[in-house]
Amino acid sequence: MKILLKLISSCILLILFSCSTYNNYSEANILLNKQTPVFNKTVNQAVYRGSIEIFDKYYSGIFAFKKLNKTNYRLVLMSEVGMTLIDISFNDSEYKINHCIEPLNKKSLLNLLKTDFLLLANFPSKIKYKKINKDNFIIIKDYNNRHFYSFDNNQLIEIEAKSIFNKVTISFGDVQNGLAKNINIQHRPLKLSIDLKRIK
Amino acid sequence: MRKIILLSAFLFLITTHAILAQKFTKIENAEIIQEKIQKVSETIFTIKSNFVQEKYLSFMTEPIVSEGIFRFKKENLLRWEYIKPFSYLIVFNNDKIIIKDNNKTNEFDANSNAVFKQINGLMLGAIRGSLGANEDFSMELKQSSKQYLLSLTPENESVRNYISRVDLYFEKSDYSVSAIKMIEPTGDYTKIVFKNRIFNEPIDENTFKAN
Repeated sequence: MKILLKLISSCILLILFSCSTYNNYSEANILLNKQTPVFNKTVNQAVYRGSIEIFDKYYSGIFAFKKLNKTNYRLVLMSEVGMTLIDISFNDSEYKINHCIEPLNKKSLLNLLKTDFLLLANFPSKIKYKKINKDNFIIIKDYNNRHFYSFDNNQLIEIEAKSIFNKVTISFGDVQNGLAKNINIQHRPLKLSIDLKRIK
Repeated sequence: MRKIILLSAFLFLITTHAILAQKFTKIENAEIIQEKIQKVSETIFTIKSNFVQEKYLSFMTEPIVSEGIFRFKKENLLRWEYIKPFSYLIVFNNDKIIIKDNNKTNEFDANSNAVFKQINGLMLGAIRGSLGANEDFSMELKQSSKQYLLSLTPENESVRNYISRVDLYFEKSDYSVSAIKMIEPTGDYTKIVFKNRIFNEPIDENTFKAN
């Protein structure tokens, strides 16, 4: 019975998420900075001090993230002491494990990191619509996925990605020279939160 | 053209110097040196030091640098604290490992995992310089003009999945450890250089609590 109730409430949540529209927005015809604040024209690598909270458990480490070319990335998660825990290369369709310690070698975890960091670094090439509200707050929706990109004053401040069982919200804070110092990734209804503070 | 030649000569000099600084040759009388290192480590009861940690990843253009301080007290007390560019504290208190990060404190039993127990032993032994005659590693001793280099290769395959080799650099002047290099199976490595080392000054036991 409990499971059935959970399923029903999840469905209601899904419907609610799916129905959220941006009613007070009108079509916008503005040129936007089509880049997420992770890399820019001169910076193609980033180092973050990161913490992960999942179901009241807390983990921390250092993320080294590099854009290798237009489509390929490399991500390393290491402990503060320097030991590499996860080292993967990935693009839109697949990931390759360069090195991974046994307790973390889980398909679901590696897929989640791949998806989250792709979302962090990639800006959609095809846009379905671009809308603006009275406060000059702009929202765009990409063509292929159910991803929404929110801009404040021409600066990307939030990405919302929806799938059937998961909603990911990425918030960018303290953006300087087009690079965000603070990034927060929230997964719902899964209680997973990743905090990234740029150290390089 | 002249500029290019000058630049090439300059780069060559830098490169040559770097290689020379790192040139280590095998020692014939390794046992005698290892004995001396062991004897000196037995006279060290406390260490206070700063450290600079550099993580080298093959695909990154620069190392990831962090800095901090450490305190060691015989036998198994260690406070390893990062200060820059983030704060993070690890305390080894005999069989306990305490980690403090952002006001969150976690405590582990060092014996809960065989591999981690060996890695902890490795860290403590490396700092103390007391890893001589250890059955868990095969060893090789080399020397440069100023340093001895003791390379330790773990015999245990599960440890080798984490660390393929540990290099300990000892100063010839006092036989104490001045740097540690931990090489991973991929070839990426972490180098920790100790600075302003002070030996055998009293350290309060409270230092080895997470506060």
